[in-house]
Amino acid sequence: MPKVRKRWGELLATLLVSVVSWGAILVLGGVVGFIAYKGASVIGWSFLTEPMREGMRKGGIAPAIVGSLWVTAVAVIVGGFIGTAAGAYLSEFATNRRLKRAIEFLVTTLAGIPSVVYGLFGLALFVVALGLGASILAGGLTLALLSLPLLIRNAQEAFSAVPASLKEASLGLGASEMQTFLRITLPIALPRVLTGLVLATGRVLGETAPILFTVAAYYLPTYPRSLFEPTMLLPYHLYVLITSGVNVKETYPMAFGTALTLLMMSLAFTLTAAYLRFRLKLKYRV
Amino acid sequence: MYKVEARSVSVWYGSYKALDDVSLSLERNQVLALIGPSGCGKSTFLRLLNRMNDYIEGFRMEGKLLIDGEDIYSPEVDPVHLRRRVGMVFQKPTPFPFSIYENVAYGLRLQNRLKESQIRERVEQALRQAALWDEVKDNLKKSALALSGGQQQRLCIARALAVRPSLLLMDEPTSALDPISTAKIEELIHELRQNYTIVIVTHNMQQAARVSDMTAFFYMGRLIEYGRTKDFFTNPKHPETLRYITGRFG
Repeated sequence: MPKVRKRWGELLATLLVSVVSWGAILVLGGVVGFIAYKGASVIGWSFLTEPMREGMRKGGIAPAIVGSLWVTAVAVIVGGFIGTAAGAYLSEFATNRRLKRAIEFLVTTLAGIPSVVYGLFGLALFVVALGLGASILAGGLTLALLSLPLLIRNAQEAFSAVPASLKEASLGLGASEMQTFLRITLPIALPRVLTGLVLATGRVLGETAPILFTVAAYYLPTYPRSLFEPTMLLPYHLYVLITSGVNVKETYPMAFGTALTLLMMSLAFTLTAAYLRFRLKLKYRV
Repeated sequence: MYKVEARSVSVWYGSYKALDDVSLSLERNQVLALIGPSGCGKSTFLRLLNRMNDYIEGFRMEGKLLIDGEDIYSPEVDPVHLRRRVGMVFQKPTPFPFSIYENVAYGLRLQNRLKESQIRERVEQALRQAALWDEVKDNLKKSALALSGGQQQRLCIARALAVRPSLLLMDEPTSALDPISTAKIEELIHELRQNYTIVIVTHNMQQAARVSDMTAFFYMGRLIEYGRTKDFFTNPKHPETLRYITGRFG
């Protein structure tokens, strides 16, 4: 009976797909659960709010949290402006098709460059050539460069997703192209643009290689007072705690606390993005 | 002086010739229906009148197109200004995701010289002209997306009228609507004729016969026949026109 055999095949396929997807979820849950289990005992109010003491063996990680937020803020603000502007140009204003293709190709290529190469470039350009030294500004700009391909692509897609019929309707009412962009395209695309920005924030927060040569301090248990100072950061601090602390055995548990903090912060940004998208999608139906 | 006058207008998209030597003239306060099978050039002609084709890559035009005696493709004419004199309503309703009020006020705000009280006045006036005022006057702050398809299309007409154009272009304005909404829009066209000149593209022969004073039949980029709607449907001069309006092709 061929009918029955076909059903068996379907059942088997369904089973296979479920097993694989549950497996993936389990692995992910395992990683998060393991970090949470090992890190939870270390994390506490004082761990999150106090500076390191006694060569990182005691105290908290507050300067690294603050430093990470500063550098990330610089990266996202600078990258956000440039990325959104470039995305708008590619989607709405570029009339020369060849130039547009060339820029798109460049953006795709940039996305494939390893992050450590960005780090080296940041060192050469921002730290040395522009004389910024190892500083929050240099690190933030390097990370902005790194996140640009993602941000440009995201903004371009967001603007292109705005129905052409609405743009035409606006032009038909006597709006200039810039008025149409500012009054129709940008407001409608904003939810998507913002979602991309928040997602990029989560990614930038965890990047390690680009900050190594541009901003990260090995041990500097104070809070940064300006954009021209180096600072400690969570990803690099994590690396130091595991590999090159004063006493690695003693600092090892604290690494898990740091990892959990970083994980929770990244997760918070990802969830914010999901929420933003859901809420604003309801409002604009695009 | 004619409201609209085309003198030997030809249009290319790249190497494709979309309009071939079209000449016609239209008096003020008349309704002109453009009919013909898909791809015949009628929409291209409509979009010439507010220079919407400018955005299409490879667009090229020859000949002269005059509105109120002014060559609208002369280099001195700013298409943005032209479009304030020539309103357009599209095939599918295109309300912006704003409130009903802000939709109608949109074109007015672009010009930056009206007080809010004046804008309110013009919004009401436009909504009345589009026969929508009574249905929405208590809900002006409501999202335009919540309106029915027919109401949305009348909103788009109100939005175009608020800018006070003298020429109104309609690109198959009822093809996405139900019969009752269609009847309302047709009634509206009748009333608007008092103050506006209207050019409407339609696929519906009965509609062309009902709403228009003049009819132009396009076929393969050429204007085959142009004349009074009365004569057009009762006594067409060209065999192709006869075949089209009796439904034998297209």
